[in-house]
Amino acid sequence: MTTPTTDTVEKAKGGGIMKWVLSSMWAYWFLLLAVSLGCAAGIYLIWLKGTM
Amino acid sequence: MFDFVIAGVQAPIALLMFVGFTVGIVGGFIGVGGGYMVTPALIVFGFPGYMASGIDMTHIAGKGLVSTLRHRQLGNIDWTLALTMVAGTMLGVELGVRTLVYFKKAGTAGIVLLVTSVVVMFTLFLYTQIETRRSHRQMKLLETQGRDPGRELHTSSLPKLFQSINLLPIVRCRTARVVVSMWVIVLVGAVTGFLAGFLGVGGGFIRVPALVYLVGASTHIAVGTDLVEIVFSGGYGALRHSIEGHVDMMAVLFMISGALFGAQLGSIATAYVRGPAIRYVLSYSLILATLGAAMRLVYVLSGQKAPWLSLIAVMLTLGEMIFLCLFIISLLYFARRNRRGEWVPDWVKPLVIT
Repeated sequence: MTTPTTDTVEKAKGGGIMKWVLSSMWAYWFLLLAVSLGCAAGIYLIWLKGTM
Repeated sequence: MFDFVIAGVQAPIALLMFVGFTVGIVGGFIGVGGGYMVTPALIVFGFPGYMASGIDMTHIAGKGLVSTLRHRQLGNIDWTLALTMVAGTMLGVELGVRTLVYFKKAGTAGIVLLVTSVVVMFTLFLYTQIETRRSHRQMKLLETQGRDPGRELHTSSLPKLFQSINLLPIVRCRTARVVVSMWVIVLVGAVTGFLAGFLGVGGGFIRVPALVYLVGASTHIAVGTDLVEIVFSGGYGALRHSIEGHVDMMAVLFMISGALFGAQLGSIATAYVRGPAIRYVLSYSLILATLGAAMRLVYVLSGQKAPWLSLIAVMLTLGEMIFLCLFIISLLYFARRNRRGEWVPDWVKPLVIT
């Protein structure tokens, strides 16, 4: 049996966090909201900062 | 940047198409025109308020037609319900507009509008969210027992109450599988029309919950039927705004080019989900719009001294469009994975059709 490398452990850990976020409706909700607000901030900075 | 000569504004084409696309998806999925999202966004892009309203209405009419055709193919429209409701809606809108004129003369229209928006939207959010969570739990229970929950489940007792009113004539809505007094449908149309006319919106976000919780239609039928109403009201609004010269057709064309794809995607997505999924998205839309309106209300009440409040309202409006769009697309993605037998989160399973 081979011991898992740091890389595979990190990959599994990353997948675990993502699965945890996806498994909880509220966590997923907040993740999407954070991404959306980030995109909105990007749109504001790129196109709208001068017009407001 | 494109020079919109009629509006006298320079705005990025990509942004208009993007707004059209995202609101198209949301509109096709939850059966709303999306005026409460588009009009503030257009004002932020630099369009004058009256022009934003005109462009929004005209694009809603075009987008509503596309969504309606798609929902017709999916069998989600009850024409008896839609046409009976139109009469009440028209009456209600006229009364709503007259009430608005009264408050305008009194000089309190701005604050009254914002307070009414916040109260109506928050109440609808609360009821829809609580009821949908209850339905979600019941669907999960049925699934764990190995029983098929079907396409629709709602736990509200209000439809039974309204359907028990025996005031002639009684209307049989075959597609919606609802037998109800014509006066109930007309009254629901009038009340929702009044709020729509008063708040200056199409009223889809009020009519869809009303069709589900008061008339007793399924969420899919409520969405399709409401879109018929939107074609009528949007078409009339577009005509009136065009006559007044409030429409920049170039802006409308750019928005519609995005909305045509979005509206079809949103409408088709309803075929992959169960009723509570649509109601969840509707309730999220309501709470985010409530927060945006509440920010504007605080901004107005503070004597417009805190411009950051206005900025947060803008962020919420844009963020809401993107959030709802991502949520619908992810539901569609999970539904397809579920059909292929791949892993999906547990909370998604009762919401999608296998």
